[in-house]
Amino acid sequence: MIEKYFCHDDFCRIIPPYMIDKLLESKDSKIRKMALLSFKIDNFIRSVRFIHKKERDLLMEELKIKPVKIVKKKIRHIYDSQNSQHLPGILVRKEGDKLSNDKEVDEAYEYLGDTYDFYNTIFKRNSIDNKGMRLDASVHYGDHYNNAFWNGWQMVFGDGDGKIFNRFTLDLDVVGHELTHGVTQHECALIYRFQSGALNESFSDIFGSMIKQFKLNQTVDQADWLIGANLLIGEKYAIRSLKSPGTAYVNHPQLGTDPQPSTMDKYKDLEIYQDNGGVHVNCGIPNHAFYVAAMELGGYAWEKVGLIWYKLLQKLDSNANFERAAKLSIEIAEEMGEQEREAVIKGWKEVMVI
Amino acid sequence: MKIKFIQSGGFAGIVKEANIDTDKIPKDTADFFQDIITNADFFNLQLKDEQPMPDVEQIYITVEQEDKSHMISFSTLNIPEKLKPLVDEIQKQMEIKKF
Repeated sequence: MIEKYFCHDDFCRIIPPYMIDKLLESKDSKIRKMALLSFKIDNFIRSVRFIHKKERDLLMEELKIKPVKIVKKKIRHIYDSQNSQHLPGILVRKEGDKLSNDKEVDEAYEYLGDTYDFYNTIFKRNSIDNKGMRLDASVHYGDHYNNAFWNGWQMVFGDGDGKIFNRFTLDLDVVGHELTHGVTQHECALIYRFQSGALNESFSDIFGSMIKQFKLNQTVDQADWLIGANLLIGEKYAIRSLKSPGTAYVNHPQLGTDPQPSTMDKYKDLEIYQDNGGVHVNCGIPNHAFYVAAMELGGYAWEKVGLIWYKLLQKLDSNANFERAAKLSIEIAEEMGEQEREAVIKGWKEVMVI
Repeated sequence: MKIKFIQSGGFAGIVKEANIDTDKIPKDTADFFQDIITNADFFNLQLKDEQPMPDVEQIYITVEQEDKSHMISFSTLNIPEKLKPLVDEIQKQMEIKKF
């Protein structure tokens, strides 16, 4: 039973809590025992999404949960939510299947593949969890839904309203961004609030941008460093810019002007109810530090600075702040060489974190 | 009764708000909101603290009435059943807040 929860095909299928509650009241002791087990596993599954991998391994040992069997190939499943809010929806394309002729389905399939290939080729990473986890994505979620998110198990993409936002599968960097949230969850599980949340967002933007650069074979000076350049409708608009935070959209009729700061003196001290303390706003600061370091070293972003940031993702604590990220990334860069160290220091200095 | 509704986050990090004063809206709409707040036992509603998930929008509702004030929050993936009609209605009135 426990293994069933952690095999790839059944990973997301958890008994709903209200059913477990009923089963816990059963007169049959066997049913009660199974329900209790489900309850513990359910709580475990909910909690592992937000804890560091070391703690997660300890918890798994304590609950005698076997880790997933390692799969050494790319496996994608694309589901159609059929404009409902049901997840995952109906399976419409799985690994090896032909084009579905539904552009959202086919874009999600292709871009998940590109993202897997980037992590696998550059960092020898085996999927989101580094154990071959199946890549699940649902498209056509909700009614003209203006969002994409990672729910702890899978990626979810809305169609957009067609007025402000295009479909959320349109840009490779957006798909790469969402999948990277999964990678972060399985590495340092950065808490999604305030500065640690902004770092979580920043890793997703940075790797999302690098994934696009990798596919287009672009060097740092050829890249546009934009996130969601096609997602936000209008030629001159994008969602975020790593090169120049605060300029991705200016005087947009509905959204106004990109609020991202690029330096600490402009850091936006927001309340929790404002974007979890500004995670999508203040991520402009570490985003720009990466950009500056990448430009300083030249070549392909993933070769040097990308590798430093990947190692950083594996070393950070879940409640890390910008200063901690700066300190650790400089230490990692130092092991690679003086040029790398200087470039990373320049990046963090320019954004005034150090 | 005053209702402050904030929906924030999502991939683009947008903050949307709506402020409703039931003294300043048509009576049938005011009654509609009042019924939902009463039926949901809003002032005693305690929701589980939810860890925010990446790019998932979060909703914050604060209701003030007479000398009472109460705030709850939940993600758009876990909207309490009894509050769904209120959320659906207020979402139509939200305006994007520019930082």
